[in-house]
Amino acid sequence: MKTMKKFTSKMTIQSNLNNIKKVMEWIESDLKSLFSSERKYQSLILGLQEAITNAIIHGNKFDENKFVNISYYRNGRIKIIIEDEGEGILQENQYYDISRICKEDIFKESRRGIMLMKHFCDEVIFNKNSVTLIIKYK
Amino acid sequence: MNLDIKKSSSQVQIIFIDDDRIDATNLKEIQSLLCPYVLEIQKSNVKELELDFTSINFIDSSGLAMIINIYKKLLEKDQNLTIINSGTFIQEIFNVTKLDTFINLR
Repeated sequence: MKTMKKFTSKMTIQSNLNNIKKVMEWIESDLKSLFSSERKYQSLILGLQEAITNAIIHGNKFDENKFVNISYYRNGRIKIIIEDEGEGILQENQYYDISRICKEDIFKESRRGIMLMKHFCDEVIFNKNSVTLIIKYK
Repeated sequence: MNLDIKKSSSQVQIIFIDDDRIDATNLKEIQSLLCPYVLEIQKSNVKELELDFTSINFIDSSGLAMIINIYKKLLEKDQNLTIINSGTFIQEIFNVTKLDTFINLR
């Protein structure tokens, strides 16, 4: 994987779902114009929505004394890192194969967000307290 | 979000208006709007609920969970759920999560 050292911007939000709108406005203002394809931009927004929602709900468990940091780097593709202050993300998510979902699991509540992130982003990396989304915009 | 409701003896159609997304940020509001209609349909002889997605261009996993709950409630009474006028991005979301194998989209 190529390194993308150019730091572009960062935002920190309290763990409240109402703050997701602020993040989306910031991303739209900074990044939307880079995308030639609306579908690619929607993919970024969907991946980001799932990652922030997971961070607030499962990571920080709605504790407004805990924060979610969102930072992005840009260099032909966008790398967004979403960090929380929770107890850690299950590493098995990294290896979850969405193509092998069986009929019995379709209605299960968990992992649908992981499925969407993996399908719509070019790369998703799970670390202990962060998720990194990589998406090409050209 | 607001809802426009059209009823016939066999079908109820709910059209989402004034908002373009169903996600974690507006889910509670949408659930509180939809819930009375779903309960009413369950108690009726209506065969099908149609959700009109003309204005909806974004749904996340929270929104999908809400759709699944509605589907399950209707299934208990042998009633169908159909989503109409969904765009290609919404269709792709239903396809990748395989929900389109249970829920009709057209």
